[in-house]
Amino acid sequence: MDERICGLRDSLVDLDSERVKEKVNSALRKGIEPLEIVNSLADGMRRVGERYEAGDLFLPELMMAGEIMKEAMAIISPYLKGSERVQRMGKVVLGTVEGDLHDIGKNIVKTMLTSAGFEVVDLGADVSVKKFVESVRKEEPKIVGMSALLTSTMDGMKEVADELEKEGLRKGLKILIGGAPIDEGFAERIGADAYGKDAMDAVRKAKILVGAES
Amino acid sequence: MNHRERVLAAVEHEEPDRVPVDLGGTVAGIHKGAYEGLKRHLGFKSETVLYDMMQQIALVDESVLKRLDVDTRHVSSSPLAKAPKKMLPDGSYIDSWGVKRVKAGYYYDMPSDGHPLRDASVDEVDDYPWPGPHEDAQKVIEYMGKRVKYLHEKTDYAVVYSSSGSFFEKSWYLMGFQRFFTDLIRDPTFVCRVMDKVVDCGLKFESEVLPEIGDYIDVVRFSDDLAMQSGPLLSLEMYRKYIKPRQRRVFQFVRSKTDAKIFYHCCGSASYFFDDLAEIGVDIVNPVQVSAENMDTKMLKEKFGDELCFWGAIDTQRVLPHGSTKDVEEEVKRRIRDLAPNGGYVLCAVHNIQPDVPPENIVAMYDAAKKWGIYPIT
Repeated sequence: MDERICGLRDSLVDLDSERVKEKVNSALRKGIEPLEIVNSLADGMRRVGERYEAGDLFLPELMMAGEIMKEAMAIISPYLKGSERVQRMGKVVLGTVEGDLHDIGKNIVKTMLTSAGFEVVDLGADVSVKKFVESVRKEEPKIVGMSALLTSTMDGMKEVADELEKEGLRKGLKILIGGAPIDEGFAERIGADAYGKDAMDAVRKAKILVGAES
Repeated sequence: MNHRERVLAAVEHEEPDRVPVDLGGTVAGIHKGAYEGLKRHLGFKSETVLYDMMQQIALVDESVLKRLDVDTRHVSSSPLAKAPKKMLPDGSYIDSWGVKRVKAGYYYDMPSDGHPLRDASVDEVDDYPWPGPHEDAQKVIEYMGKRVKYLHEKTDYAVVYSSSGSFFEKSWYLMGFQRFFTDLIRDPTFVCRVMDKVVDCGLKFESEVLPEIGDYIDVVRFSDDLAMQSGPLLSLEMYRKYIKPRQRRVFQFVRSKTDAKIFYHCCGSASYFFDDLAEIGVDIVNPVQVSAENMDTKMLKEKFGDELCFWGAIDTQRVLPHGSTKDVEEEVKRRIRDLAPNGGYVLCAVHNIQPDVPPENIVAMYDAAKKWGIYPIT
């Protein structure tokens, strides 16, 4: 890493949004490769994620880090070359299933996936089977991610999985699911490829699904 | 032992004749879909009255409560005060706090544009139209006064009152989850101002209600989810700095007006906060969400059983909706074995019974509680 951006990662881990912005601006002025700045921030997000998983940090810190990352990216984006703007890990279509308006968890997953280099197409909450299928057809993502909080809506995930199969869209597409009532067994039963226990686990699983990690 | 004595013994950590059971209110209640199925199953016919709009909870009829031999009766300012403030043409509504609610699936939930203080500044908080006692407040208070006096004097049920003293969730409903949780770091002054306003509104209402009902209620309920399935929402440090002092204020106020036991509902992995909650006067914890992290009932009883009474614990995420009646019976036996020795356990489902729970399983739960809940527990 360019030593001129040392401290950027730690400023993010310390949730110091002003300092992160300062450091990003100064790095850009010094002519440091924008992609390198992004990587440094992504490294910070990874550390925040690890500390969350270890129980040292909680949702406020995790969400705050996500906001700081977003603000920093807004500064860096104009400096990125066209090819660098394409998120390198691939595209994820993400949504909360039909009948379920709970999108807090899904939004955190979105932040963490974006920070990890995925391009996320967010369909929002209460997403119909049809909308998932249409979006997969249009966006051609590597992964479709589904979330549910309710025991009474989680079966909607199976409907989406079945419909994708029926429409011939399942080949090469991975299904990643999560939410409070979901577990490995349920993922297996409905033919999903992976289950994310929380946002960090979802990112880890997503990386495995696209072959970026084993 | 009558119903009230049974509940009170349990809450006082003494062994009653059998484990008391609860059904009713808005955290140990039943969704109208499940309730209609239950009535059909039991052969009861009545029109379902809605008790809570947002969660679509039914008012449970006496006939059903008697059949299931429920030891409690619930009272709140609902259904009057919980009625929508304003219905919108598309079927959604604005609640009495100004938060928008949209029907999705079985309930009403908040859309992302439903939070009225989402973009407010700290100076705008005071000017927000905070809910005061509504037009019918006096009528509601009179009704509640009569109702609890009747329940206390003419029946032998334990009376559970749902109070208005909860503030944590209402505060984030008002500004949205994202803003609440990031502002705890970025702008805690704003979050604190809103929480204080919400506490003030609740206590103002309670200062009028509790003098009327305080002598006739046995349990007073608060409800604020501080945890989720996988863990607490925020650190103990942050909880102690921002939430706990306000809880202490609310509980102290309520304690000064009634001897009723303090019941605190917190979903998810709540055990993280149990020591602190006990310290500020909580007597009962609910719903004991056994499917969440660090909520193993054996561990809970061992660690917190001397101080806290557990109320709930029959798994609603897996066993009740997806298990057989035999599984339900086993679940009941297990939770009784873990939680009931030396008293300190009132049995009901973890949170409201949802429409995906078959009526057979509901009946199996209450029947099993009666069969296996007889003391001494073996």
